[in-house]
Amino acid sequence: MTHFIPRLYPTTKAWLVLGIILCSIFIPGYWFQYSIFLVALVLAMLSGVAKRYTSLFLKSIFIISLFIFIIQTFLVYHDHIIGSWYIFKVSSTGLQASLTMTSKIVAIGAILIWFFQVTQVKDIAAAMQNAGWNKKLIFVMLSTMQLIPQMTSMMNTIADAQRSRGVETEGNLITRMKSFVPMLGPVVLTSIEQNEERVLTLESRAFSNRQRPTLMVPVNKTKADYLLSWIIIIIMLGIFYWGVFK
Amino acid sequence: MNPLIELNDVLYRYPLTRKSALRHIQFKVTSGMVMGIIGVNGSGKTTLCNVIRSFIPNFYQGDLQGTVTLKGKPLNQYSETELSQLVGYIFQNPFTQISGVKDTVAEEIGYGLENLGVSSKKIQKRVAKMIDLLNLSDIKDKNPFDLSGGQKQMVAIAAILAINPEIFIFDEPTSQLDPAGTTKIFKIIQQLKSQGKTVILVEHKLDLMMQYIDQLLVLDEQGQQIAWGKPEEILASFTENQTIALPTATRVYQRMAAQHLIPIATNKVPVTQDEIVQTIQNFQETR
Repeated sequence: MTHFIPRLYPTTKAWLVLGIILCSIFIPGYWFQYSIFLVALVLAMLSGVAKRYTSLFLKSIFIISLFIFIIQTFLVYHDHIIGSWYIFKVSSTGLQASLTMTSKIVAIGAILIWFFQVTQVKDIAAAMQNAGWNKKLIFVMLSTMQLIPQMTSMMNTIADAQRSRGVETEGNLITRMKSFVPMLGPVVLTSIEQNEERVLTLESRAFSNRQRPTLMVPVNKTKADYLLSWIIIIIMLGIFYWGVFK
Repeated sequence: MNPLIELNDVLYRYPLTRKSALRHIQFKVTSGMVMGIIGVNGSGKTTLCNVIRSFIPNFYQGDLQGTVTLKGKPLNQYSETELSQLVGYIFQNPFTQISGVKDTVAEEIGYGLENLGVSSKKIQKRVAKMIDLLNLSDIKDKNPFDLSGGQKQMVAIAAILAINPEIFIFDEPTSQLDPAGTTKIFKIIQQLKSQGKTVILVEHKLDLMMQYIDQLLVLDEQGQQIAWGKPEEILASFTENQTIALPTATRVYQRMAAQHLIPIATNKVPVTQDEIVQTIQNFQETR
């Protein structure tokens, strides 16, 4: 079971993500939305990524939601005040607004974090290619994902070069900033300069070919994917109907 | 024999420059030939390769005069896809020869074939062959960006070999490689030659280059073609103190001839180690 979910076709998982996002937006209240964190946690456990999922969630969505909750509840003025302490006033409408707002962020954030933990970008790209998306668009998406590690590696090289010339690159924040800011120019300019040669590399690899590209390692939908997709769609439609119209 | 590649009085000037990067380039390359290009830095060797691959004028604008034909057809009548299948280009800089969209070396090697719409089974077979040929099995699952310059160069060569074009342009392919890697590349060039492929080789390692090439083109610092022909014939008119470097065998021969240790030949000089040894042996036998 541990490896079953990550192996699913990206769109199978995407249906679940889409369904949960739509339900989170349209279903009133906040219990359903908050419960999605637990659903995503269970899915993450089944996918074998619970630790990474929890860590990422706490570092990102939890902090953002907490911040919004505090601001909305204690600092934004609302009617129907139910308690106060110095300048902080808590109102029932403010509390309700905070819960509604943060619950949606938690639901959408949690399911997206789970999705990207169990789906490789190259699999998403393969699914897009199978669906007939534009090759250039897929290339831009994939190369953007590689851009950050590339630029980080380039910055490390420049930092090493600076260090070898006696420039102080470590220490307090000001020292680090002093060495970091001058690095930005060469990093950006080198990246732009390298693009020219990279275009020629792509041309040498027949990137301009108009024929539909293939995949060395094909990513295909299995029977389980078709079955699960329909089950997910029916369940999500049921939840949507029950939550919105009932 | 009809020429595979023919350049006729080619002259090229980069945009916004007054000085020509190439002047009066004129030669014919027949199928199965290994052609070497030498010249000092900035003499236009890479520019000439770009002309042959039609990156000039398709990618680099500028003023291109003269005619360039491939299989008797002007280059501008070929599509980019046709050219990528006909002419494989291995660039000088290994750091920009990675597509940037593949996670593993094996996938990187197969990228060109994917773009050409080759079936996955055929790609996997071809990639496995290339990995085997270039001894890349230790790094086949690594991210191409995590490789050293030499390893990246090997991957780039494998990626072009996988496409199996008719013509190969190697622009200083061994600049980042260790001696073992360099030997491997020249063995591959030898294999390509035996398979009847046409190879255009820009290389500064003259001693190695001379063992494999059939014809040599010499460019001066102005981008002007100063010699074209069989290396042993055209290098006979060059001396050691001229701007182009000479192979060790030719230099040894010229020094020995200058000291009257061996007779001076005006029309042919040894260009490889084997040839200089043979020349000395022949001379000793005739004494």
